[in-house]
Amino acid sequence: MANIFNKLVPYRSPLELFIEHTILCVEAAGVMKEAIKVYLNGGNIEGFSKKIDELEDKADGIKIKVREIYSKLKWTYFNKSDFLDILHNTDSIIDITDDVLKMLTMNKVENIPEDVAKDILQLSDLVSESVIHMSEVAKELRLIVESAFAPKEVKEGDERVSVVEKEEHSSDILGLEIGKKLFSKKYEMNAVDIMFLNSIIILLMRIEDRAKNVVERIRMITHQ
Amino acid sequence: MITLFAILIGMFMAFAIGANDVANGMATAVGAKAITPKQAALLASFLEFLGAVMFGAAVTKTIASGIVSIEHIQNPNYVIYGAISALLAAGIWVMFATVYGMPVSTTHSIIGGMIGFGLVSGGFKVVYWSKLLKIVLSWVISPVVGGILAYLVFKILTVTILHRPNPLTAAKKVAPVMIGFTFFLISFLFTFKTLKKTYAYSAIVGLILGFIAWIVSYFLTIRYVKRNSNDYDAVESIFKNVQVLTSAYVCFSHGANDVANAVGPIALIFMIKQTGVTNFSSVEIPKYILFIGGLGIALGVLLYGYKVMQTIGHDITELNNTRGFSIDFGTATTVLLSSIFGFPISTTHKRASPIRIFWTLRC
Repeated sequence: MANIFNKLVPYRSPLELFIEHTILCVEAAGVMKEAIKVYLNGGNIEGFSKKIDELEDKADGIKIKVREIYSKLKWTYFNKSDFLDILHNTDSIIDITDDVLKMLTMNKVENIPEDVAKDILQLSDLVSESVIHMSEVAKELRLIVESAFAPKEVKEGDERVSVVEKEEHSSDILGLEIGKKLFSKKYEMNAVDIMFLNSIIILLMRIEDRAKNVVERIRMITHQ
Repeated sequence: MITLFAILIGMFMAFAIGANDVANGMATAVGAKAITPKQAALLASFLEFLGAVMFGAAVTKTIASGIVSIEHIQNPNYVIYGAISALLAAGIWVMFATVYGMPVSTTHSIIGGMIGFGLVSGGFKVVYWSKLLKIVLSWVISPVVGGILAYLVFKILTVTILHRPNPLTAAKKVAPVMIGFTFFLISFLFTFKTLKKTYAYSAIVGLILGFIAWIVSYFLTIRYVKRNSNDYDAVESIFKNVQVLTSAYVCFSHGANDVANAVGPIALIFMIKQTGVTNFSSVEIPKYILFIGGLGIALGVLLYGYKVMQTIGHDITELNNTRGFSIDFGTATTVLLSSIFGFPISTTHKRASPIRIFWTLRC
């Protein structure tokens, strides 16, 4: 009598919300990339930090909405905890970009060696690219569901996942190289600055790692 | 006077059915924004009425004389007051459940009411326990059948559209076939069971109407479907419109089955008033009784169901249009077939079953 169907249908599609969430990650990674560029050129990054804060707020809003919908839904396409775990990982991407921006505002490193600056820029580029590709995997997930798990769409999704995995591998190698390069300059550079820049690199690698986690979990749920 | 009172309670029950249950039928179409709540209310009220009048007789007969053996109750007044009590009890229970948001079934309520009246007026021997067992079995079997049907329809869509290299091109061909088949089924069953024509005649009528529906929907699909950013979105947009039709089919079959919950006891009272005895040999349900029930349901949809649909209209279903179409088709076909065979089933509870099957089989 009362609307049982009302309990089965969500206010918004969780998949759509998830895609929106990953788009915010892409924006945040883009802002972070720009901020790093400005920082390495000696500019002010206060404005970027504010922008990331706004994106973080929006992302939190989406996360709450998905949780709300999922708490009401009886039946979903994927295991609820798997899906919420993926969302948790995408959320942490925005959180880490915020951490990077906050770190950058804490300390001003002067006279960064050109080769290190170039590598850090390249790493932030790679990270930003990976987050874009992660968002594409999220969009592909929607197509996989709409196509009723069509083999060609699942294959397309797998290919996109392996792109992110390869990028994560490249970033790992680059991050290690930058670290080695930085510590090799222990007699030329301020030790605190070395530790500081190394922390930034570790955070960038962590974003990449989270993006990889997201796509791998997406692959896992599409193959269950 | 007593007949008028019974009609009023029956209308109240029919109104409650229209006000609450019908929203379920149109929920997916409104949720997908294929139609507005106002359009849905108009369409649903018309189709509920049509379903009630065209196919409502068999289930009404079951409620009126298939649960309690009234010939064992000598005093006709006992039957009249008993039927009114059953109707009143079911109506009050349904309203109470509605106020407190409990998902109860009008079908279960009225059958419970009829059993109660039978037990009080004649004891255990006047209840048709074997028939009741069949009805209860139908409550268990029909959701499974609905689920399997929905699953099969979705598998057909998967193989013929979604897993094809060009899903949009495939959808333009397959969707009109589905529409044609729906029209064939309704017209065939109506001609065969309600108009009591021969099997061959009914099949010809069904084929002609199904063919016309197929041709019309084919040209409409070709004419209005636009290519979206991806083929799957375009396929969904086709099925968004087709879902209006299947939601209408759900309302039609709902009217056919649930009208009995409101007019079954009224039919019983009318027959006793007409014959003056309780042991009439055959039960014929007059069309005007179904008309009264259909009208009550239609009014419930128009005056109150519209508000419920507006609430649902804000929801976007996790199930997309192709899945929604399959679930609606499976539900409606099972409800319609149950109506034809005289089984009063709960349309509210039945809908959850295909969704559960979809979820279990991960479609």
